Amino acid sequence: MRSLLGCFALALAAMPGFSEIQVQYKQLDNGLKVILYPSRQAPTVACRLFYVTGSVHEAPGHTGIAHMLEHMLFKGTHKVGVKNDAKDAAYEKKLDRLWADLQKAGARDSVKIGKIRAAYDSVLNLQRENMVKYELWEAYEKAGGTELNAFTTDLMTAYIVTLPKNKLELYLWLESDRMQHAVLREFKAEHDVVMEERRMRVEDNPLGRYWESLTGVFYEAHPYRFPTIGYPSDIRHLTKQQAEEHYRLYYKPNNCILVLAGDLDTAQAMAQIKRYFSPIPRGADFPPVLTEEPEPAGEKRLAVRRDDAKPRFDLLFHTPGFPSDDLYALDILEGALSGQSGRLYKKLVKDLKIALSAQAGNDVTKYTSSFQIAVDLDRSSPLEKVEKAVWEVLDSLTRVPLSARELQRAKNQVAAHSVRSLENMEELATELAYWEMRGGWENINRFPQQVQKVTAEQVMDVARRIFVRDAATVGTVQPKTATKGVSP
Amino acid sequence: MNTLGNTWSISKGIGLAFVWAMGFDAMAAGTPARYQSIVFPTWTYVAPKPADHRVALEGGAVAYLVPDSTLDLVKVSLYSGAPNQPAKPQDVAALRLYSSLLKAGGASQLSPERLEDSLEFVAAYMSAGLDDWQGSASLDCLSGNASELLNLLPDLVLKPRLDSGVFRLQQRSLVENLRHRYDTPRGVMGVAYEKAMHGSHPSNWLPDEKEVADLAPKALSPLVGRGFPAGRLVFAVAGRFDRADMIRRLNALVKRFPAGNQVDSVRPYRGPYAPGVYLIDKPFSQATLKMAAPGVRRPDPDYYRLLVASYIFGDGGFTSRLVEKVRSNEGLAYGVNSDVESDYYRVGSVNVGLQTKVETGAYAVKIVLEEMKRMREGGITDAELEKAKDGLLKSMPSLFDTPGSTARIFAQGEIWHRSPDHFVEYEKTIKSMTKAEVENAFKRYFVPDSMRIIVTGPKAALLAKDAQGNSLASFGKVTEWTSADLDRRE
Repeated sequence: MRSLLGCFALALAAMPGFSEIQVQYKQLDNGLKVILYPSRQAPTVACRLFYVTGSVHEAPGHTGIAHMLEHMLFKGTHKVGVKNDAKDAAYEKKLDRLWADLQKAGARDSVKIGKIRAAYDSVLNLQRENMVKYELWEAYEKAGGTELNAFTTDLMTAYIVTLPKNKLELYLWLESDRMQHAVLREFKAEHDVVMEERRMRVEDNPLGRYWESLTGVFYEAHPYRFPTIGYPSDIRHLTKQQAEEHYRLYYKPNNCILVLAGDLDTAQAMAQIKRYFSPIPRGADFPPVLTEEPEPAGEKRLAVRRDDAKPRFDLLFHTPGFPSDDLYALDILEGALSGQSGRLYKKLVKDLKIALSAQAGNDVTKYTSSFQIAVDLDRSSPLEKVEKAVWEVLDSLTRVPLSARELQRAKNQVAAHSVRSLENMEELATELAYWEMRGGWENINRFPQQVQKVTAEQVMDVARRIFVRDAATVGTVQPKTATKGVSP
Repeated sequence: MNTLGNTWSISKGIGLAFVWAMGFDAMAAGTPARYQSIVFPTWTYVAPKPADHRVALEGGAVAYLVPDSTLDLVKVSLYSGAPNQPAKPQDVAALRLYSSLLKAGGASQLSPERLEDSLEFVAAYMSAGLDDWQGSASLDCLSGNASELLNLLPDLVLKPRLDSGVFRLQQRSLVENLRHRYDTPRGVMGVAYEKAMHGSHPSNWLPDEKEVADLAPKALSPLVGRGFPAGRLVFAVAGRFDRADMIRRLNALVKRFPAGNQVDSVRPYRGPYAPGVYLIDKPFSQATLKMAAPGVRRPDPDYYRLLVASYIFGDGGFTSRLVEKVRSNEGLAYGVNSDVESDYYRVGSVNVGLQTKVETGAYAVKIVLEEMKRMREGGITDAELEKAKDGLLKSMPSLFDTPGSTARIFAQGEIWHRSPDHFVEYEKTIKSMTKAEVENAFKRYFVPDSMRIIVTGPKAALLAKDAQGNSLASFGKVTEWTSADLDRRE
């Protein structure tokens, strides 16, 4: 074993430098940002179009609208998904009117409601006969598209597919069309689908409501507090008009990042992108997110008791939005606290034996970021002791500098991540888009390089300023009933 | 916040009219009016061939090497292809715990702390496990550390240190996981499906909480060294390495594993329970459903026919029949799909799965069965067949999207005794498939009366009749399974 450990020492000396990512970047006259990353790893291209909008652009009453719109954008456009666009427009108009009548009818008038529903269903059937259902999806599938999907987060909404290298133009055609000509057909049925999605992801997930609630406690004012899928009462009342308004405001080239990563000729791809996207006019400016998260008035706590969820302890701190030098030092703190050789595991799992696992996360994002400690427990874990031990670990970081090995270990992990991030074209494309949204794609290189410069003193300084009890949010999940059953 | 929201609402109508008008004017010059008119560059994909990467190692072991110097990484996966099924139910706990301690509990003279500290310091990942069907291990590291870490692999799986502290931690962790095994629809359905379709079998036995809690470290001793006979080893290696040097290293490595290729026999499966409804009463907000009937054990010519049929029925995303009907038209479910289980070890199944609010559970089953009947009786269209073939064949490049995935696919194929021309045959078979072949296969396997309808949700609501008179009870005899029934190992 000595030789092995000796070789680890050699490996330390041989730790590689960074795999600096080089992309072709261009912003078109209409504001569209284009990032191209060529790689011959596989004869495919990961195609990802990001609209810089999500639940951060929502407010109570219409939370979930960005996500709802994402669903609706698979229903077609004036050219795709429909046989006769004029007929479709007439049906949509009738359906809108009948839907408005339905809302006005009032719950008590069941006869009237029945009649309107019947009329609505009859027009909907006619509309469906005139539709080519999910034509966009089919076009991608027939071209060999994989990873075909879309997703909405707090900050971005993305439309994604990975295509064989010779089918790139299909993506440019369909997405430039979807950016301009979407028609939000079958709103009501999709509305029900989203409710089912929420039941599946949140209501029937033992920790679903815990996370939703903890986020709401952590963010008092910033729209990060809204669940991206929306509150159930809001989803129930979302309207097609609200979705159209969201589309009108945010689905514009000047609010959009297009990333292509894979086997592509960058000059040819850029020429094609210009051909398809340059003619699309930029959109008007929209209201910026003005709300800033206030300084916490004191420590906040959420205690959830339920028997069906695994016990856990979470501790959250607000950190600056990107860019901020503090975030580099916080990345080192994440590395020093996490893993089985990290301080949290050593103290809580190995030494005190009061937890099953423990890690930290430095969530770097726009506006305001967060740093989280997460501890997995079992029924026998004494919660007070867990919390005390976590604070002891954090306090130690404010008093004693990290050892040279701890510092280097965290830096090595960040450097290795920069190499591994080039393995998967889909993930790389998403990472590039997120850095661009946060302030510039170059930060995918710059951030890990800055982390390498962090000193132990800087880490201690940031720990002192961030790990403050009065600014912390604590979340706990414990069983409702007394401990039963067996223990090892 | 509210003020901002109201301000946005005021501008709705005017803005919308504007955007539509602008949209129509903005069609790009020099681009085709229809996407169907795009002329794509001609390009034919040729899948990589296993034979180009296969290396016969000493002692009967095999390696698939996919060198790629692009990134400073080496990835190694090791499969043993040797089943390790417990002889009796009480042995499951030891096997599970032992598997969780491979690597986590240290290796040979290397304590868990030293091992983890060393790996984490150089940002390397290693794993090892021993499950019902085979042993496995993996390594993912920077190329400069590959030789030393590769040397560690045999110790990881053959000389586990089984550290007592980590033993107790894994024991607690496994007990906690078992406590919550039926707290999610997914947890319930995974076990209920196995039971309904394959009966009680060593490969699906769950350990009992008490059995795990009562285990002493010495109970794991008989498992040490098992599951990795040299003659069954298959390596998948990808990344930055010298081919000749890697072969030399792997040959040296193989010598440290026990010689031979003998494996334990596997107990025959009992086969599925009778068609009907199997209900697990749980206070979920949705009814989570799986409808399943026996399928095929691969290799079987019907597998690809079923693959195409299922693609059309419910596995081809939004354009499949089930998704259009259940999700898109009716808004009943977020997720609905069909699939054909790919199983080389036992008879797999053909399945339909969905989640819907409890009130519409029975209605959703009715619609699925109606669609099944419609496809059985009405057949499929030429367009559907073409779409399924395109979807399956043209997406092949994505299968081999990294050197690592290419090596792993080939290694797994070796374990399953796939033909060296597997992907050539796959392409040929799918391309030449006829409508009649697909329709016949669908009729033989997707049989409404053969379906085991496995459902979890609140019993009373699921069995109550809805406004149209639908109830789960109308689809066959309802058998209620409790948690104890799911746990029973016979």
